[in-house]
Amino acid sequence: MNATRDLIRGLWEENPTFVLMLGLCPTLAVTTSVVNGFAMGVATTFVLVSSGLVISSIRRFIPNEMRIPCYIVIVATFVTIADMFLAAYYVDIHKVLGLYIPLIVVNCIILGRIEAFASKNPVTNSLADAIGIGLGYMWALMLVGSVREILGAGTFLGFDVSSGIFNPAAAFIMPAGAFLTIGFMMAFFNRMFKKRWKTCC
Amino acid sequence: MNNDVKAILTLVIICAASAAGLSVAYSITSPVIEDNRMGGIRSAQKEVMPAADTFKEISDEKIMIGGVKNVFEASSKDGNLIGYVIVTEAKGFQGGIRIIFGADTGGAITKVRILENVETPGLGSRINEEDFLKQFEGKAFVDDEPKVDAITGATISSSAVIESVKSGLNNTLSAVRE
Repeated sequence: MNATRDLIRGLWEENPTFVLMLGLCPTLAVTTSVVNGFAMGVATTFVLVSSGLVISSIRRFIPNEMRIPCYIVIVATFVTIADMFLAAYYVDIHKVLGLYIPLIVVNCIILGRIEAFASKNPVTNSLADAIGIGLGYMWALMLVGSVREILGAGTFLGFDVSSGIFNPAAAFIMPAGAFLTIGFMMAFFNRMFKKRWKTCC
Repeated sequence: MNNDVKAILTLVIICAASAAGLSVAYSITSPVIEDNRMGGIRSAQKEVMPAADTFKEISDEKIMIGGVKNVFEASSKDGNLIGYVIVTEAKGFQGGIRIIFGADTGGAITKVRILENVETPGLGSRINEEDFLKQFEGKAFVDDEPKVDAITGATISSSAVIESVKSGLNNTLSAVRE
């Protein structure tokens, strides 16, 4: 049952974007539309799950002082594989995400979860944690992507939802719009879910 | 000492496994990726040069300078050379922009299409829009410089495309006329 808890934790309590505030750079950059957010979430989840699985299963063999180079090689391998498969089979998405796919290597969520969790826990729990964090990241990206796509481009999943109702504000698909959207959402999440906010600071 | 050897061995084994995994993934995907790129060029050839029937790639080192990636001779059904289809890569605002365009033998542009770009969505990415691209049609960028209006808020992306078309066309024409 521990594993179930590990899975659910990533979705809310320790949501990487809104609570842990990790991996914000790609969050700001690729969430110009829902589809981009989804694709980025899938790619990151794939890397989280596969590197988490490998690392937690060989965690006893990795010497402590050599762990970071080992983690980076493993993570970079899976990122490169994800990049190649997207370029081969999902050309349009690969075109849009471009550089942000290779940059998953340096996404703090990945190394953070490996260091904090997968390197210290059994395979089942690590798998649950990776899936939870991955899905938590994915829905956060899609939520930010929806807001920015609707307000900034006037579309949702590519369908026009704005004509006759409002004029899309291009600022929302610019970087400034990303900061605004994420800022408001963090405020909301802190208010709603972070019970600790009264005692902290 | 023993620990050092163990640490080195672990990293070597991990790197070897990684290299093996990557070479498998590469051998699966690289033909598909190359096909995708050539497929994109092939389907765009006909679009930028509708009058042509066959396209033959010329590989001449003199042409492949200044961002020119591929040049094809475009011939009509009866085998006459009617122009060229040129693929160039320009430096955009955020990365490379791959452009394909057709030009008749006199240097007049038939059509311009964008193959790949990573420009800002909503601003630079509007170089894909017909309003911008159709300005090139029928213009010869050889001697004088015809006017192409840049996109508001995307001056860098627009002029990257304009400059790339201009230099790609001039390189190709001067190389084939030699």
